[in-house]
Amino acid sequence: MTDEATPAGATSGKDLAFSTPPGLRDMLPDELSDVTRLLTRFRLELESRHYSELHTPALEYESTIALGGLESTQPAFPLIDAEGRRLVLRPDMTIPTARVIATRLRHLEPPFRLYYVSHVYRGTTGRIEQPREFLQVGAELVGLSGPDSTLELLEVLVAAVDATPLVGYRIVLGDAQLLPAILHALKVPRKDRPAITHELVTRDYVGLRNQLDRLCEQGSISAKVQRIIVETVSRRGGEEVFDNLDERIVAATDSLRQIYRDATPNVRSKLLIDFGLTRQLGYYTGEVFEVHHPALGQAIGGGGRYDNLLERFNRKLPAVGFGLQVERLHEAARADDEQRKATFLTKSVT
Amino acid sequence: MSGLRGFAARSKNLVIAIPGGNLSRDALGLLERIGHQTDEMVKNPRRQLFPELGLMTMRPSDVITYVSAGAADVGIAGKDVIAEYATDGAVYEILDLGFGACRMALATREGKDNPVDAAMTRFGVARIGSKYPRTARAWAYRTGRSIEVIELKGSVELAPIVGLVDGIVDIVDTGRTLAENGLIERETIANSSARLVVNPTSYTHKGELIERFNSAVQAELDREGDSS
Repeated sequence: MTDEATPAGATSGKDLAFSTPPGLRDMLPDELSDVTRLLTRFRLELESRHYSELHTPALEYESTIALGGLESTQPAFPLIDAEGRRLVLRPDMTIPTARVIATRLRHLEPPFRLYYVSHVYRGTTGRIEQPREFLQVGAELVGLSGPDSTLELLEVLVAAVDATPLVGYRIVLGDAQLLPAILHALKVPRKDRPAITHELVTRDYVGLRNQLDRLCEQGSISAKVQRIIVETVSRRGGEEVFDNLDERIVAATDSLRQIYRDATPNVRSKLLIDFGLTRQLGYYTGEVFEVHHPALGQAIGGGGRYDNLLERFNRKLPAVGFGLQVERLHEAARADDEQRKATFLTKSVT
Repeated sequence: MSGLRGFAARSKNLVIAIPGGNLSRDALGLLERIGHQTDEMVKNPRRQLFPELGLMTMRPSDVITYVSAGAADVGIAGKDVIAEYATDGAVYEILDLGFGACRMALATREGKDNPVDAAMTRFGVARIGSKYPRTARAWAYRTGRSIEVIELKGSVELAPIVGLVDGIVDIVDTGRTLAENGLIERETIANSSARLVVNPTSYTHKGELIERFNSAVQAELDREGDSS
């Protein structure tokens, strides 16, 4: 039987009634009680650091979300309301937070320290189907600029994750401005820069080398400049990544160096500096980071500086924030738990 | 669920995804030359997982899926497959392995006139058959053409002969298959070769293992380059 309203895979309208649409699911009591425990710890930690919880509506004007870039945030469910206005289910919480600060909180002086626990909605692309609704926890620090405020936010991130049972995670830290600054310092022709940057944004180091090869052959850059660029953006690790840099590009790494130097030992032990990390979201302007846990194949979350986003809402303020996917956090915490049990059992046997 | 990775997460060693098919022999040969055990895999072409060797094998286009999910830490895949199946940044593409060189091209029936151009002129749109719909659309967009993609799974050469499509976007190696079917290559779309791809989380948590593997492969490629 075929029915045009029945999606592929469902055989009749009757089956459909007992299912949830793709990418959406129920959260059952067992999981939910675990998740609630995680969230309680997260909230307590954030409140103790004077971050206040913010709630915004699930639906926003599409034009509001578009200020952060629709392409990169991939809203999953565009809607048209009864008046013909275009709405979307929010694909992230950073853009609504920026809107609130620029409007509802306009009468208050910065800085703003806000956190949220909210569902967000994204489309999925590619062969691996992902949830289209997921719970996100995160914090935004708005109104303070520079590496100091990035470090404060990273400390909050580490404290919040450490408040959960999660161990063994790493934070990969990079700077979206690093490659553009390097290209500028090394006098790479302006018109060639976007193509080079694009390769790094998509983490295609082969493409990056090919682009630079092409410029080298044209005589636009020297072989030495090419070598410096490739070698620098391939650097990953701890303190040593700042050693022996070409003097022209040292300044471009200043903010990362400062963050790494000033970080508490606990935060530093989690950090992995990656000069090639830029992240995909269109609104990042400086330091960016991702949280990775060995039990999962994809990042639990991440964040970064977005110093130009508030300006688009007519309130020019620098900002930095992070967001974590709660379901992934929970999955990783459970994997750690099993590891602990396994280790305990091995130890008690031997 | 979101981002479960399975085997690679439980293995302390590097887990490598090897594509079946054309790239398989070159990929295993390269591993062999850098001192990685591959005998068992060569001897058992039907087995797919070799935990003791840290190897698994699957269809070439699935390599991207296994690596981006983290079921394997690194993988070997053709650039053609990466361009078609990988979402931006889902896997890091860190090394050009050189082998498996081929090109993505537009091919049509032989003759003075290019049927794709003719269709564009007459109907404003050309029908393109391909196993690589995303690649075909990106090419059409880049070159300012309007196309209707007809997705095919195999025997792509048949489609233009029987008039199902005006042209095909497909991999060309030597061009012999095209010629035998009365087709010619009209336009090169992209060059491809095998690449080493890495899962971002593995790159964070098994970074040293991956760097060591990457360096060994790079050194071997350099050595071969020098001796040829």
